[in-house]
Amino acid sequence: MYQTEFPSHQDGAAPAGAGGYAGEAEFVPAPAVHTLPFKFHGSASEYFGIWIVNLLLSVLTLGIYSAWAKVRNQRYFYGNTELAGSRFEYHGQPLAILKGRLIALALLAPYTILSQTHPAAALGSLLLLFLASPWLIVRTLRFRMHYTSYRNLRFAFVGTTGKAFKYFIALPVLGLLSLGLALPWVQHEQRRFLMNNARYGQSAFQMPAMIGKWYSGYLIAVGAMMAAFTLLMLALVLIGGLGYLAGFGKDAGLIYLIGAGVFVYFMSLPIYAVGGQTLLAWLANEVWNASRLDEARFASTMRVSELIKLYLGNFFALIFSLGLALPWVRVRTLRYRLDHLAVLMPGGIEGFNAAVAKQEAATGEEVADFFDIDIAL
Amino acid sequence: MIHLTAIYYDGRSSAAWPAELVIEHDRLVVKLSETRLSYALADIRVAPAVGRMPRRIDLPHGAALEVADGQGLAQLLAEKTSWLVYWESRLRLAALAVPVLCFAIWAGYRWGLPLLADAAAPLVPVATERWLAEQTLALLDERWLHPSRVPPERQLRLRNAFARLQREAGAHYDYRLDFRRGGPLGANAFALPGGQLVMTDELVALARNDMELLAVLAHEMGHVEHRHGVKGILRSSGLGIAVAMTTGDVSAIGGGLAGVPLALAELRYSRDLERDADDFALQSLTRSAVSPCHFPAILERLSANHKGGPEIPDWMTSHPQTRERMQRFDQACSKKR
Repeated sequence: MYQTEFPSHQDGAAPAGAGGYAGEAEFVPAPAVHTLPFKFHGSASEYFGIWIVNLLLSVLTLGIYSAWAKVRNQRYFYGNTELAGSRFEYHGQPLAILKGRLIALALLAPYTILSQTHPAAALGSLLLLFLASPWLIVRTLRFRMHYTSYRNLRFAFVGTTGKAFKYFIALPVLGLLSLGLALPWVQHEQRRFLMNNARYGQSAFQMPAMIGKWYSGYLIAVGAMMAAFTLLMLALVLIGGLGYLAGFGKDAGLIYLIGAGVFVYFMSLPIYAVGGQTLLAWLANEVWNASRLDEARFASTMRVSELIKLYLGNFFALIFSLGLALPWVRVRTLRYRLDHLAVLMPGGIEGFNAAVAKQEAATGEEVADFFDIDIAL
Repeated sequence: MIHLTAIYYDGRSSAAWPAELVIEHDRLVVKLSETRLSYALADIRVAPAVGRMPRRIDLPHGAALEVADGQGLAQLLAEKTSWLVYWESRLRLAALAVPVLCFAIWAGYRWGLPLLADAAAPLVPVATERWLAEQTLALLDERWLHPSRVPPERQLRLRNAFARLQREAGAHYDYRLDFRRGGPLGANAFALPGGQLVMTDELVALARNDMELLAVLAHEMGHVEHRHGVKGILRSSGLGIAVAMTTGDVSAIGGGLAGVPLALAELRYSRDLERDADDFALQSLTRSAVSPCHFPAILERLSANHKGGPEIPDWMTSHPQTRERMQRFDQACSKKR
């Protein structure tokens, strides 16, 4: 439930006596740290109704309604996320999102058409997109965060396009030149750029340097995926060997070879998907555990084994349901993440203050969405 | 009088205050522990209900309310149940959306998108078609094709006969017929947008007479006259864009998995266009001095030429099955015999 005490004055200042030192060397006991867990109130069955109806309307209106559908979907997830008795809120405006989508379409259409006849031109558009990505990323984050609020205070992203250029063009190029060895470091720098420029009201998020985690994470993930592949190949070779010993002829052997090849191709998808998602989730876990928001800290208790089970389940559920399990997948994933996330707050959570408000246009988000720029926090 | 509990946020800090809401004299009254705020209903903005979650009311001056009891709020404000919320909340009704959705997607793919793409095709100027053709031919010459070894007299003879066929068929385009050694492409003929036709030496060698080659050219003319090149590109692009538009925020599976069904879907469009070109060939040959029977004849010859490989099922190929194509000509053929 929400707090039952509140300040007697209306200007919203933090409650007095939150543990500040008065300049004297006297011992003031640190305020008790409250653990405020997140809680997700949504359900897959409830969300399925919302998701499928809005999807149908989007299709029937040739995509125009999709902006309204997006807002409803987001509001469902934000509005069912509770922390300390209050819900989050998404304020995206459908018309602004529609404008963004139409612009994205105007950009996407020539790229798609050109890539049919002119591979060179398609490559050129990809290059242009890469160069424009800092701008797109900054716009997307500004929009997404400005339209998110908790207890009526808005989040914000204050990073500039100029700085983004360094993190999303210069560093990746460096990373590629290093034959990929520097790429974990690049991603780590990008993540710090995103986190350290995120704001809640007047307060800033802070993420410390943690390159070690990135490298250990990537090494383990790559190792695990290679191990999975090796085991897969070994198993197939074993089966093939047994078949040969059992006397299957050359024709059967050829069919088996082709079948095995196709199987490996298809199995590579879950291995990469699950491996990649687990790695990113684990890194996010470590980031939250080390980050702060003013005096607030976070406790993220996700585990790799549970994440792998989660993402494997998601992958196969989506495949076998031809996508209809998406509502269940989304709810399940968010519930897991929220069940394992808490805010550690000395004092109360009512001590944050608002920043000066600004109006943001939506153009960035939808354009970035289409070209698959993933900037998940 | 309905009383609702809510949480009040003043928008300047993250503090949360318990509040009670009532409607008095058409105004929303917010009772906090020490103050009473009153707002005209026109000045507040109530967020639409989504599922059963708490609803937000935006108050002037940046304040807001969070109301846990969505139903109660609807009663308090005398809101009519939105049809959308009704539909979303009745699971059986919502489940009906699944078959409707599948049908809508199927219908859009089968008829809607082709219609749109075909309607957009005339907007593409002929100059663009020619430019596309030039680029494609240059690419083909670079990669696979070699200069033709068909003797110039034969080429001239075929070109003259083709010119006559164009007149008889009422062609709208200026055609250009070129010959190339096909190499890996084998016995083949293809049409590029804008009227550029290419025929391989191997096909010339395979045909029994010039009439059979003219029959093939009639089919290729169909592709040009009906602007299949542009339509095909628009249809395929449209598919890709449609998938991106409706699944705009789904990144769960990613491009790789969608690629195979997309390619198969595009092949269906290709088969439709091939059937259309066959129809054009039938009509134009019937009007001309060349017997339509030559078309199934050369088709059979081509099919025999390619035999030895595995039978590719219909849904995997860009052309309809040869048997099916030949059957269309059976009727007309027996007539003109």
